[in-house]
Order: sequence, then C-alpha cells, then structure tokens
Amino acid sequence: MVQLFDPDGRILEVNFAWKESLEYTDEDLAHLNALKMIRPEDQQEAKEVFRVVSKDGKPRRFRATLFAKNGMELAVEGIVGRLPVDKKSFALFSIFHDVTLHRNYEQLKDEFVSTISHELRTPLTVVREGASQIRDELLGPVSTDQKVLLDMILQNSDRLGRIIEKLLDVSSLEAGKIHLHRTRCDLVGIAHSVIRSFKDAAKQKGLEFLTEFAPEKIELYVDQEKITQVLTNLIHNALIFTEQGHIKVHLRIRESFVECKVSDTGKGISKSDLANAFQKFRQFSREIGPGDRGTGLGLPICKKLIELHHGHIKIESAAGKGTTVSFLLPQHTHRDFFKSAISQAMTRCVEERHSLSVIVFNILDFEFLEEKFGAKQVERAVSKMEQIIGASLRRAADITVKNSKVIMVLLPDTAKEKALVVLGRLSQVLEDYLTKEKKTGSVKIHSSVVCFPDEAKSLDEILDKIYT
Amino acid sequence: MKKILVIDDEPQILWVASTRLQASGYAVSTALSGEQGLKKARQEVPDLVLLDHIMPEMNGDETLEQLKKDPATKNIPVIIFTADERRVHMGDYLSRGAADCLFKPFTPDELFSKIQRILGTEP
Repeated sequence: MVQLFDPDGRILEVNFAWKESLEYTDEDLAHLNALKMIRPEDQQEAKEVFRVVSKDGKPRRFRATLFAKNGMELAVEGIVGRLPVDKKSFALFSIFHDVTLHRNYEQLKDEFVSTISHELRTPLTVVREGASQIRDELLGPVSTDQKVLLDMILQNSDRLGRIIEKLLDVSSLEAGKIHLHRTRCDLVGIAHSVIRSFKDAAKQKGLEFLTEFAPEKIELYVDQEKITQVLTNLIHNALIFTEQGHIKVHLRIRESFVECKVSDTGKGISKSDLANAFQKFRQFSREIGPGDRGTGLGLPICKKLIELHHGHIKIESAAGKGTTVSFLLPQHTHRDFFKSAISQAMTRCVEERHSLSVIVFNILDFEFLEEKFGAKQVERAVSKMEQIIGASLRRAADITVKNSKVIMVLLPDTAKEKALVVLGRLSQVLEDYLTKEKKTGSVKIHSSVVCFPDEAKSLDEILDKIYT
Repeated sequence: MKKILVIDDEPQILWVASTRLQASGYAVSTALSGEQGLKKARQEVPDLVLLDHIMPEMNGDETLEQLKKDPATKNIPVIIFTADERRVHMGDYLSRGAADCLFKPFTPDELFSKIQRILGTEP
C-alpha cells in the first residue's frame, strides 16, 4: 500500500492496493487524515515519526494498526519518507504492507508454546517420577525384565523433556527473545569441558576423541553458555551417528575468524537429507535401534545461535563417509565488542524512543595491578566484580559486559538521574567487595555515566566518551 | 526428622513427590492450594516448602509473598517447583526470596541435591 499525505496528515494520493485493503472510496479520501486512521494508542508514536521525517527527510520505519472503513483493524509495517512538492513545500509518503495475519499467527504461536511448556511438563513429571519410583523399588521388588522396560520409559520421558526444551529454545530464538551475554572466554577451554562431559559415553561406544587446538588458548567475546550449547549439540550428534572410529574437534584461527570443526567417521548423511540439515524437524533417514534419538531441532538451534554471534555454520557429509560440521566466529577487538553490545541495546531503545544509560567502571593502573598481584588473580577479581554487579542489577534488561579492565553496564530505558542512583548502589557493592578483599588502597576504579541520546547522539560518540 | 510441606494444585504431583520424600526419610505434609499451604505453613512450621508456581486463585508468587511477609513463616526456606519456561523466571524467584528453583520434570538427583543444599544431608 502506498499513501501520500501532507505534514498535517491530509491524504493526498493513495494507490489501488491501499483502497482495496482499507475499503475507502475516492470520495472518502478528501476527509481522511493519515494520523486519525491510526489506532489511538499508536498515534503518538506515528506523530513523532512523521515529525522527524518532516524535519530531516531521512526515511524511518513505520509500524501501526490502522482502521479500515468497516472498522476492522489492520496491522501494517513499512516506511515513511519525504518528497519535495516544490521549492518550499514537501509531502510525506508511506509504503507499507498488511502484517495482520502474520502478527496474529505469531501471537498464537507464543501462547501455544507457553501452554505447551506447562501442560506437557506437568503430566511428564508424574510419568517420569512414577516410573522412577517403581524402578528404584520404592514400592517393592522389580524383576530384571521389568527394569529394562522401566528404563525405556525413563529414557523416553527424558527424550520428551528434551524435545520440549528445544521447542522452547527454537521458539524464543525465532521470536528474537534471546540476547547474547558476551564475555571474554577461551574457546579451547569450552571445547575441553564439553569433550570431558562426553568422555564416558564415547568410551562405552569404543570411540576415540581427537583434538587439534592451535593455538592453545583462543579468546573470543562470545556467550559462553550458547557456544557450549552448540558444541554439546554437535558432539552429541557425532556420537549418536558414529559406531566406530573417532570424533575430531578442531579449533584454529583463520584470518579474522576462529574456525571450529567437529568431524566424525560415522555413517554420514545422504545428499537429499543434507540439503535440509538446518531445517526444523528434519531428522535424517536412518536406521537405529532403541536408545537415544535426536529431536530434529539440534542443528537449527546451532545455526541460530551461531548467526546471533554473526558467524556462519556449514555441514559437509556423504553417506558412509562421516560428517563434518564447522562454524566460523568473527574475532572482535574490545572496541568492536563494546560497540556491538551497545548497538544492540541502542536499537531497542531507539525503536521504543527511550534513553539508554551506560555506566562504565574503568580499573585504573591496570598494568601495575597485574604486575603486583599476577594477571590470573586480577582477571579473576575483575570477573568477580562483574558478577557482583550483575547480581545487584534488578531488571532482566540490564546487562553487564566487560573486557580485561573495563566493566560496562547497559541500562536501557533509563534516564541519567536514575542511572546515577544505580551507579551509587553499584559503587557501594564494589567498595564492599574491595573492603572485604582488603584491596581498597591498591585498586582504584573510575566510574562514569553516558546517557543516549542526551549526551551522546551516536554509537561512536558513546564509545569516544567511554574511551577517554 | 525434617518436615517438608509440598504445595501444588495437581494431586498426582503431590502423590509422587510425597512418596519420594517419605521413602528418603522426610516427614511430608501437602496442600492443594496457596491458601491451604499458607495455613499449614503457619500451623506446622515445616523445615522447607516446595511451592508450585502456576496455581489457580492464589498462585506461587502471591503465596511466596505471604510466606515471606508473615514473621511466623518468613524464615522457612522455599524452593519454587515449576513447569514454567526455564531460566526466564529464575532470577525473579530468587530476588523475591525463594531459596532455589526446581524445574519439572525433575530427577530424584536434582530434587535431593537442592533439598540437601538447604537442609543438610540428614533427613
């Protein structure tokens, strides 16, 4: 749909699709106002968008619910821009499409998923726990044959439980509800701990783990929990599909990326299945007996998680030749890392027209401290301080990010005065910590608050303020 | 013997939870609603409360708030026992005074490790 209107909202021109969808006739157009067609609760926001577009001419996103002639509500999304009419005056235009169906569908899906989580888990709890009590012989002795069946019930209850978890993961990933909590962490360390958790399972199947990590420590700004989840998924898959040989985990630096490869000597995947590997619920055709099976959701979740990190994932395989899944993660500098964290928070604040406050704790004389107490010790203390700060924040939207000597706290939807109150509280907990550790004399922390958009208008301005 | 009060609107959950706890030597008391749970908590002052989150009428949040308000019950540790979406609420529960969270479906190991962390290993 396309509409042309003057800065006061009077409709000047619309296209055919517009008339079709909103059901107004040419006669109606003369009395229509672009603002008044918008549902009252969205009007303020639309007015503001029209105002800024009129002012600087830059196109903006436009989202609103419109009333059609018959009173029906139409959810629309698109853009608003400015067009010169003559030397002195201009008109606004907006191009948008109907997203009503899509939006209803999304809402329905969200409700469905949260119902699933409750309505399926409760009966599953009774089934699992009931079987488990019989299995544990709480109610009297059980024969070996009966135990085999009870174990199957337990295994399959657990499998159902995992499917529910993964369904929820996929749905929140798709809804964009998952945000990364990046910290500096060592990928080699993560790989080691995931491999360790599978050691016994591999041993039981007679499979060997091979590793090739170069260099021995690869530090990246990633969400440790999410990357652990990805690696766990990939190694778990490799383990299920491999009967003999080995599973190899390979980590290396490739230009500005870190590459991680998990390959196996398993049965491989046929060409037709490979094309659907990252699609939901597409399990590979395979013949396996009783025991652990996949959920058809592991790889799609991995793909989403890697893409959230701005990385790429790919899969290579041939039937009978084993499978290799590899992903690339970009290496960030400190500034890049802070930049992406701030930019994420900023986008949300801009969309909702809120301010964003950034609190920065800068540890002074850092090199001197490293020399005095040892790098490891200082690193641990900074992590501890980040944890303490994280624990003192009260809203889920408030997040902390840190590099070696700077801890940053992002407070979306928070004006400067409020941020100063938070800063006061956080400084107090940090001081309490330093007192407890008897380090008040030697550790000096400089703290400051930058507020967007009042004090810094752009991302780079915020960063410049932080780094000076 | 340590006493655990389980509050859940699903009778079968109460059934399996009490069987499991009793088998390990705990005394168990049960309640089918938040109101009933509050009453029992005041009368019996258990060593620990396992509290379901989603219940009709008085839900887990309100029950927790009431428990933490009343001087007679405010020191009883509460484990939130929930089928909600994980992690999302974890921080919320803890900041409202819950001692821990146990997610359904649970394994006996999870159940006992959380209880023992609070009550010690002796039942």
